[in-house]
Amino acid sequence: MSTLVSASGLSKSYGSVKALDNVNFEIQQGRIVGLIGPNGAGKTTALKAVLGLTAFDGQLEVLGLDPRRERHRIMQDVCFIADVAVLPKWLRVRQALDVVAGLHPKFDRARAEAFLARTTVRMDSKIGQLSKGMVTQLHLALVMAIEARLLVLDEPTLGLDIIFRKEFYTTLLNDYFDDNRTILVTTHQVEEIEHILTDVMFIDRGQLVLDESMDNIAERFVELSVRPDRAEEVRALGPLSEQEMFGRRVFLFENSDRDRLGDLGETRTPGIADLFVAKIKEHAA
Amino acid sequence: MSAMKTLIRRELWEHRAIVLAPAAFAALFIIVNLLAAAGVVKVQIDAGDVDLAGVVGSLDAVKAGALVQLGLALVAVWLNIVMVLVTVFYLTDSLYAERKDRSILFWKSLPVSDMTVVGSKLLTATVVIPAVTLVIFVVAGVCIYVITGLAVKFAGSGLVLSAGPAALAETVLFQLYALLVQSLWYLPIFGWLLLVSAWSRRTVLLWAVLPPVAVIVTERIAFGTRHFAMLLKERLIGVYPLAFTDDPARQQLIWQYEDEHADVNLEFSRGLLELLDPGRIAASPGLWAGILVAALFFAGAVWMRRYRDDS
Repeated sequence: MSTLVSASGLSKSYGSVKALDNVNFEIQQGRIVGLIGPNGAGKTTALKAVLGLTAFDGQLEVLGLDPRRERHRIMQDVCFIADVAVLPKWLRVRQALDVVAGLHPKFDRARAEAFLARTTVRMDSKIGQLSKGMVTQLHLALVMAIEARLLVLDEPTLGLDIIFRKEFYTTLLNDYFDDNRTILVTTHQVEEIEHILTDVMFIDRGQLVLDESMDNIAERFVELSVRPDRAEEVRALGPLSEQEMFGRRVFLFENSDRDRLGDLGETRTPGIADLFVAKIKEHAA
Repeated sequence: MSAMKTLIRRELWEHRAIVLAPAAFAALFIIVNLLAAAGVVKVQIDAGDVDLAGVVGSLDAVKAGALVQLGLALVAVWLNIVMVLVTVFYLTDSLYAERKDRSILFWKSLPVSDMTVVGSKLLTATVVIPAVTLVIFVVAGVCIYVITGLAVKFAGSGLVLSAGPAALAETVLFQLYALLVQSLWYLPIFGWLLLVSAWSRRTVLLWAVLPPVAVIVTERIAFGTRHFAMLLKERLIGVYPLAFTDDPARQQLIWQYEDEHADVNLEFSRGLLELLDPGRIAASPGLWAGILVAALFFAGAVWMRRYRDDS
């Protein structure tokens, strides 16, 4: 298993605001990594650094190259969809295929056309005339036809209706992802991608507050739900967070003895969204 | 090479005025020419008392060639003006539009270096736009020659038809040379526009004009001199005096015929190319200094595109 991205001491400031503050992480081949954080946490800055779209301090290697100087080389093996609206409006669908075919040596035009044939996107349409969902389908068709090793998605389904959103990830998993591919994705809709992720990274105010595989998360974190009268007893064990749900008290524990908690109430693996809220609150404290 | 071809096709798709503006102008000239020719024919048919044959009769081969070149020169000058305007607007837009419509992230997702992309824009301004203009000029020139030639033929003289091809060919060569030296001479201005286009957040044209104006005003107030203003003037209009001969004898060849009619054995159309003086402009320090400055602006534009961070 090879390391695709490795960052150490990655930092970037906009004036006095630290968008990235000494961040360290690695991304291995064959993983689907979710980079999750509140607005302004530094998600997009981190992605931009990986893609060679912004200057930064510290060490960062993508496929063994420095993105600051070798963006155009990295882009041979890295694709990204930053936001659905970025395809140039004046371009026709056919011309978009021409452009990518002419500029990307690893683009398989027939594959992109086959994918588009399954959609309602027409070759002669101007991109400006397509609906947002159709633009995403086009962008996805372009990206899936490229033999890339790393795919970076920054809020790829923002502003799409639920049918397109669901289809987007289904297509990605069924028709694109395999052991040779790696996906790095940011999104607000954590629940939407939770089940496809193999790893998560939580980022808050420029710092990584969690970097863990989903397997380890199941071991490391436990959600315990108890009747209100036992709440005091549980609080004494030092939970990460507490909330009330349907008349029961729900606690989140990190690195705790699962069996012992099991005696107090029902335990299960927490959802990423709840875990995220708990970790961000902890980081804010 | 294929990447550069694709990038240039992209420029032509995005900036359709590169072809449409000069084409529209050329079409206008052709229509006017057609109306004039129809007028000549109509007069010939209707009015028996106008002695067109007399007018046409005074035509000789040299005059006929001159007639064709005079008409084409007018078209060439106007196409040149349109081209300069198109180029200025193209360049100010070239690195700004992709940031404004946020498609820059798409372009940057393709494995092409910033130097290649900025290079494709400079190449479009210096080579593609003049080439498009020249092709349109040739097409318009052929149309105008055929229309005028046939009309004069109808009026009684085949001289325009027979003198036309040589006259046209020489005018095209003349225009080719003019476009070439123009592109080289204006390189620093093109580079400057690229730089401002890559840098500016809005009102690119204003930002392109303001700094030089500020320098001129500051220099005037601080030192009471006008060196920068003169330098700029030289850059804007100095190319023609340098690119064409200042030798009065050679210049005379063209006009002499009109004055003295018979004594010059050199043909008018050969006189046109006598005006070209490539050696002089190639030896002028201004040309090479300009290219150096253009290289600096170009490097600045590449650097800007690499790290311009608008979000």
